[in-house]
Amino acid sequence: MGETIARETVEELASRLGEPAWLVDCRLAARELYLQKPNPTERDEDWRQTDIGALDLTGMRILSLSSPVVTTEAPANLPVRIQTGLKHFNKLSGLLVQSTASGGHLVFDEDLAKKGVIFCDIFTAVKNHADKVRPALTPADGLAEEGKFTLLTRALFNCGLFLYIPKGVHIELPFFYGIELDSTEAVPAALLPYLVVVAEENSSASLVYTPGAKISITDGIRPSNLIAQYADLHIGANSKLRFLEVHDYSDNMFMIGTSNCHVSRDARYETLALAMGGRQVKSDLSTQLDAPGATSDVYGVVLGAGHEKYSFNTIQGHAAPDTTSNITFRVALTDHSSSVYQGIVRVDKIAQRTNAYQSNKNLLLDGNARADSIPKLEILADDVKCSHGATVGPVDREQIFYLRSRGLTEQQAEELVVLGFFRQVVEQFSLEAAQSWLSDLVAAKIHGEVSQADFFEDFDQ
Amino acid sequence: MATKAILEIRNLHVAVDGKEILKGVDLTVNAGEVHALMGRNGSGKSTLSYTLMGHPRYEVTEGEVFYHGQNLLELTTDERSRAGMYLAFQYPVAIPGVSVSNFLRTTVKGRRGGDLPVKEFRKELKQLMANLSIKDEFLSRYVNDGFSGGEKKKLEILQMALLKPELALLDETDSGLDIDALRTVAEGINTLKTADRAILLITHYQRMLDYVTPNFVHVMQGGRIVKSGDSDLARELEAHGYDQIAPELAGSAL
Repeated sequence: MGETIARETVEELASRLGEPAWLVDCRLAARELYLQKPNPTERDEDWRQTDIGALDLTGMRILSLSSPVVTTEAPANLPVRIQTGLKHFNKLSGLLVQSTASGGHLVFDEDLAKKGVIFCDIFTAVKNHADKVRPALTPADGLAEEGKFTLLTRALFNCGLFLYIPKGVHIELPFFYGIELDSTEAVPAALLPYLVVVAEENSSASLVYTPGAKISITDGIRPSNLIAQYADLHIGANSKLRFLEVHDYSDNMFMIGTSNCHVSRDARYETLALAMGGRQVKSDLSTQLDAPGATSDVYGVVLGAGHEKYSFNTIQGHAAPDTTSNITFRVALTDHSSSVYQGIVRVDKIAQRTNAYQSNKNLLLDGNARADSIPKLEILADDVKCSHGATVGPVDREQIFYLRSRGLTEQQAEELVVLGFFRQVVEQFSLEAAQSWLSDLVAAKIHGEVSQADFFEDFDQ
Repeated sequence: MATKAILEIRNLHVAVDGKEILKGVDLTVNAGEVHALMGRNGSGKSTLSYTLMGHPRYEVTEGEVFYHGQNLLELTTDERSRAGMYLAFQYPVAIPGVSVSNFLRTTVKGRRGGDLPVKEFRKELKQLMANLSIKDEFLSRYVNDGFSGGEKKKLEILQMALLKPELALLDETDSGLDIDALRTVAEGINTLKTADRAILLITHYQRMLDYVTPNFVHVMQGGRIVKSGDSDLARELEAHGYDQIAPELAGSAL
């Protein structure tokens, strides 16, 4: 783990971006707290079995990205990984891409802008919509409780998104935000995205977010690049937000992220995280059900290979009575890959009649792969329905034999079993594009080509 | 014209977890023939079918098997399938999350190679499903997941009809079927009876053989074929039981 962030680094970044004093102060306050917090190690419960010790922040370059160019059509020179993702969506409400190679691009439906919807990079939001974005960037209850890496992102964020849905506005087509870090220089580089999403009451929207890097590593240069992200989501009363995260990194990359979603009265949060690669992916997904009737559905799908490591921590926070949370997480691992899943269910004393469900299943495709599943229940209310279950096991060889007896090779048979294993999660997520995208990613990862893109299309249902 | 052997089994010995189950099976199946293999539970019938399909738990300790003159034992399970063999399972396994529609398309595509035109495939599938009295909603269910016994067997026959194997091994396909389903399934099997194909029916009841007439009937006992005959043998078995037909080994298999 790395060393200190110089005050000058923060000040230079802020001055280059021409930021107002309140934001500079906020960055500096986050830096102060960051320096006070101890570096996480594999001995910390939250970081067990991670590769955090191998991440060196000393000398890491905080990249600067150019401001997005506004166009009416998606440009042709987008990173291939993002183009591949985009082909699963016929139409979008907006597209923002921030890439270290091809620059920034923004496409946004003008009719939505007229309705008061805001969709832009975080720095444009600071300039033009400070009243709306400032409350998220400067939380009233301070930063003391925040994790080391959230503070790092708050101090040094160099890209990010602001999505604002006004009261009463319902948007069917998703917004898409892609980030690409494709630096191959020997000195490690970092992108620190900060996402703020605010859905006011009686609104609905969907956001797709795919940070990543698919660099080809040559000449043995393997910079330990970092994406450290913080996503802050607020769903107003009676509103609905869908959030799809697709993480797909080459094996030199560290991704450390936290997302925190506050769900108000009778509101619903539905999210799916797909993780398909990276040296170390460490993600904390927290949902806070703040008022009666709030519901969260959190889905996760992880496919590990090589020596990749995954660490997902979920927190189902029930802070009000009559709230419901569901978490379904499935992990399939080949080669020497490993995963740790920690699922916390936290029910406050006031949160009577809570319904909380948590399921984590792990499929091991190789004897060298390793998965751990750790549920943690912190329940202070007494009228609560809570269930949790976890399994870790190898692929059923009888399934493989059955499929091979129909002519599929062992690899094809395993791919089909894995897709089926994942499908049971993904088909619960209501943004259907996730299904074909997942099929592509699984096929690409298992045998390097796209063959199962139509896996989810059942004709004549 | 000389008969063409599709399958030749010579002195086949097979062990499971070190225990010998098949103790010298000899059987030749020619193109155009239907063979019925009968016997009690535990006589080795299913062991033979799993071995022929290459299940890794079944270890061939002695003997030879030829498929179209080629050493079958050198082929992997999927190679055997692609070479034209098919096993209708006694207990088909569930594959949760994989829809019947996707499963059929994937396997048929793999077998026929190249692109599978969706329109034609759908038409062919619909016709076969109608023949087997299978409802459309079947396609979007997960393979064998929560299926009744009859539904599982119908799916086995549907796959067989799509894959058009040269050698079909049907392991207790009649068990768990009511009389209507049995008739439907038997019709499905009969449509596969052509001069260049062969069928090996494994059963312990005569009733399937009322609908699918075998050319040869073999009785298996204690890991060997102890008696062979024509379709009359099955009727004799039904009337008199295994003890009388194969008295020298009576009771030893259980």
